[in-house]
Amino acid sequence: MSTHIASCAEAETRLQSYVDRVLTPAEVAQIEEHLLLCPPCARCYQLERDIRAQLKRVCDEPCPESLKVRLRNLCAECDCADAD
Amino acid sequence: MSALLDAPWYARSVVDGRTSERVAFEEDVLALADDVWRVARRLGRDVTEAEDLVQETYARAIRAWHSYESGTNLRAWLLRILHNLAIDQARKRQRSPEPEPLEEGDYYLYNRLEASGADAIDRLIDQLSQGPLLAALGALPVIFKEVVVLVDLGDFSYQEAADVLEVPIGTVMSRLHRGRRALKKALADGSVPA
Ligand SMILES: [Zn+2]
Repeated sequence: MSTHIASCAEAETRLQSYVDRVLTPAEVAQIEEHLLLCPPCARCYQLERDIRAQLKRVCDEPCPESLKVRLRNLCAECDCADAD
Repeated sequence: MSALLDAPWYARSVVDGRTSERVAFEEDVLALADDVWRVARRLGRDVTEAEDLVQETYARAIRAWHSYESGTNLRAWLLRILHNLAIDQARKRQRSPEPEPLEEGDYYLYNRLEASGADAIDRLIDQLSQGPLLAALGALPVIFKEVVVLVDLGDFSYQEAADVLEVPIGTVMSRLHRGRRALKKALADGSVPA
């Protein structure tokens, strides 16, 4: 149980990987310990998550139905099919 | 109707000249229309461009359907076609290479906001509505925008994004981080008095 995160700069380099959940369990424990003890880093983490959540929310726009109909027709009409 | 009933057994799996295999492929790609649309919508400059991108993607997918290896990731296969179209389009549009986002620390936005007062952060969160956020995303150079769209909007893993973009995972990670930084910089520039 050697390594603690020594500085906010070190936390900063790991934050993206933490958000993307690609850290090892040991690394997760280290950054979570730092976030618990360091309000500015915790705020940055929250900001990262807020931006991402909001990005997803505003971009959650389904394909227009009219376009879906055109795509279906385009698939059915393509006679390039089945050229085995 | 009766022609179908009269058809010999070996032809029964054919609908309008399409094999059942082909029809199944069509159903599978059509079921991904929302996913393709969300990516195309961010890569195209407006709705019309996004619609053209999606239609061309599907036209190419159907023509190339034999080259899709059944059982592999169809979403990544389809989005790779879209990616190639979008990159071609960006190249035609722009002769000189796009400027790369400035390297700034990940805490850039936070530090800028901190410096301009405590409620600046809360104000930004409130302002993270359609306009500024989409404008900031839209302004990213396409190679950074793509990765952000795939991973942050599409929940693609690094590996899946690497498959779509046909680049190594390390490239996905560095583009993703730089794209996110550029996004935060654009948000800070837009919401904090300089
Ligand atoms: Zn810290």
